[in-house]
Amino acid sequence: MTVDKTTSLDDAALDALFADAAAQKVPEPDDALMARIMADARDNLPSRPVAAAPVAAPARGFWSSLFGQIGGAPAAAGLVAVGVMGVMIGYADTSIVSTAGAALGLETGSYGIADLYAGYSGITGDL
Amino acid sequence: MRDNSPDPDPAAQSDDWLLAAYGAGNERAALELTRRLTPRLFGYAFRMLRDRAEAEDVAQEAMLRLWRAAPGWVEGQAKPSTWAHKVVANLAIDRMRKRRTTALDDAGDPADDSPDAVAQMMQTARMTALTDAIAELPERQAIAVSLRHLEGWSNPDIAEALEIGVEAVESLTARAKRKLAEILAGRKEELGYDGG
Repeated sequence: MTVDKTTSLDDAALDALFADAAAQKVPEPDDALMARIMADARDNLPSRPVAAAPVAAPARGFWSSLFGQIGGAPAAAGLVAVGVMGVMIGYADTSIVSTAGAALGLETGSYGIADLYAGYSGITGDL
Repeated sequence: MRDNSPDPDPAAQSDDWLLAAYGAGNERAALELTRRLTPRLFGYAFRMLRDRAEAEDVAQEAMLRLWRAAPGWVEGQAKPSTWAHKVVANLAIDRMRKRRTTALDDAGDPADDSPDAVAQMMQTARMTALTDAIAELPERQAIAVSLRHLEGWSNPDIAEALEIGVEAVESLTARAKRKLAEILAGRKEELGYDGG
């Protein structure tokens, strides 16, 4: 680029201009600015990075594996309850059932197997 | 989780260390970095913009960008101060271009006819003319010449800020000065350089 020395500002003038600019009095930043900058720093303060350790899966013992396969603890509890109920019914006095039936107005006589299966006596020879 | 463990005296640490510490959650490091960098960034912005409120906005924005860059900061790759000065340069030049004004119109009339008042008005006009002319330069020239001649940076420091070689900085500043001389040529008399 060619510079026309007759019209452009000479180096001395430009240097003087820069010197004046560099020497101009610059005010100090006030406390309010410093406070705003620190508020920004706090707002953007990163959390200390936590080491990305793999989260260990909880150990699964025999029982937890077993329960897991049948639907977990609730299902296991249900199974236990049903089992207990079955044992209780097996050992219970049949009079409880008869008494309950009578209370409901049902006939409470005893029944033979032939009463339940018509024609059964023909097969068994009328036991 | 914040860092509450005892740490070295922040005042004794480098800018690089402080920024890395802030990136790891250390608020005291931010305070020290704010004390160190803000006056310099604000001063640079003020010389470019000649307006306190605008210079404050630019300095605050540059520091905000520094905070946000902290978590990914690569220690030893760039100096925080250099990085932030370049941000100030970019922000200030953007503002200067948007508000491009006529230097002497801004200066107005002197408060009185005393030699001091006239000289003050002339000085204001010169500074306005210079910064407006810098705003007309290509961005890298504007950054290089302002850091060199307004802030007094060395060419190697400017080279680091612009991520170029020292010779390229010398070339940039030389071209910038030639361009400034051309831009300001039409105002020689107005600015009191008619004898040059």
